[in-house]
Amino acid sequence: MSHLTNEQIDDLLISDAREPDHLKDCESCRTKVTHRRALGKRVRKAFKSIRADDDLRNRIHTAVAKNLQDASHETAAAPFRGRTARRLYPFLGAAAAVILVAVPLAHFLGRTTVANASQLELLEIHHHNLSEHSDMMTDLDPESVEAYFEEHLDHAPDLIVTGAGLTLCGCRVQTFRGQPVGSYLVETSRAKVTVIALREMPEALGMKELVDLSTPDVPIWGATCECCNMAAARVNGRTYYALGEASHEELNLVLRKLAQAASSN
Amino acid sequence: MSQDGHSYDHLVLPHLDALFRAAMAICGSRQEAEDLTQTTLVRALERFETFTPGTNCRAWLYRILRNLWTDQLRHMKVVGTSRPIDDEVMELEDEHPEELIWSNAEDLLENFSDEQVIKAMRQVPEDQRLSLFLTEVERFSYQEVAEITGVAMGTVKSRINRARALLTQKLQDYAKEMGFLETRT
Repeated sequence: MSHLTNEQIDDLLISDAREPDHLKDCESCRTKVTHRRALGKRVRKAFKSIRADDDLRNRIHTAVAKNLQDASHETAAAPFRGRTARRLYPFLGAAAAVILVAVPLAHFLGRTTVANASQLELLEIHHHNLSEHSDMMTDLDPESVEAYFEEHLDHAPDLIVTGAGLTLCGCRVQTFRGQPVGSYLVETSRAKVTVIALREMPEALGMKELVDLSTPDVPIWGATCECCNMAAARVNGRTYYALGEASHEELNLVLRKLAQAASSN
Repeated sequence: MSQDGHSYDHLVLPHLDALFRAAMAICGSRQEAEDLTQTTLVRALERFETFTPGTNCRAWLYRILRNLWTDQLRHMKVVGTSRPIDDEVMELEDEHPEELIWSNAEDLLENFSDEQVIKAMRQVPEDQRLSLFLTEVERFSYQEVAEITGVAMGTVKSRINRARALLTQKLQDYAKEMGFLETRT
């Protein structure tokens, strides 16, 4: 009886094809297939547990943003290189004035490209949460919400303390930068606000610290994107972004309720 | 650039974890793996215009990562610095080690921690390790692994078989050290 070759076994494992009849009668080949399948599964499980941590993510987002910024800088400067530029001496004075405006502008635009795209993505999540067609989870018993997030994510984001003018309306798992993220909708006395828990630091999303609203315990970052304001705070190793058609003060209030709930857990 | 930045964000950045895993598989330390992941993603941004939309972005990224790693090894060799690795890579006189087969593989493998499996993988020579990682963890076909690593498909197959044999051998040593395997099955 001729045994299966390595190649035949590999083909079998890769393609998940129907097992050849030979395997039914040959314990040696069957053991070999089982061994290889189990080894592959164990290696896969070990490596799938590896994930980039927040520091690395932030480092990479910063490096990418810097690279875009440098590229914009070069693009803005490129038309003034080369021999043809010599023929343009009469215009150089005027061009220099343009550069004075264009370079810092390109610098700014480059830096904000990735951040802007991210802010727009947050905004999309918020708009989707507001949409009538949003398939939000509306069973808002805290245990059900936690179970829902645990099922779809590897963690359950911290929730706000409701009452005092704040109501939880629903929660939903959505996608940000290709990764699943938890979000929930909170109704304040004036607006509906989406809260999103992310790994990314606020600076990586182009937000700046709001000195007036920050306290030593809870620094608050802010930004404005299209019609919405955004605020962010770090709570339990994650960044919580609150956004909506509300003032930074109102968003700050939501985040502080969240920080308060997290610290009491 | 704005459009590129946007597409890059959507096409490339979602592969960050997968790239980091691959870097952890081929590099000797976490620090080295983090640096390689960052360099790969920045290089991908610089060369983003060479990526053909609709093709396999992940395979494209792995090619960049693998080329950068090869350059880095070459550079280390030239400047004479040793590579920081957790353990010595297994040196076997026999280039085609006999594959050990466990009759109770599934049960036996559950006894190992993820760290032990990764440590054992790191002791397999780099070219073999990367090929095994790409097929078993990332589920690339042999043809795709051949394209990523720049070798013939036959070489990929042979590397994977050797890697598997060495990995089993190393795990067998751990199993004996831990006392849950006394004799070779």
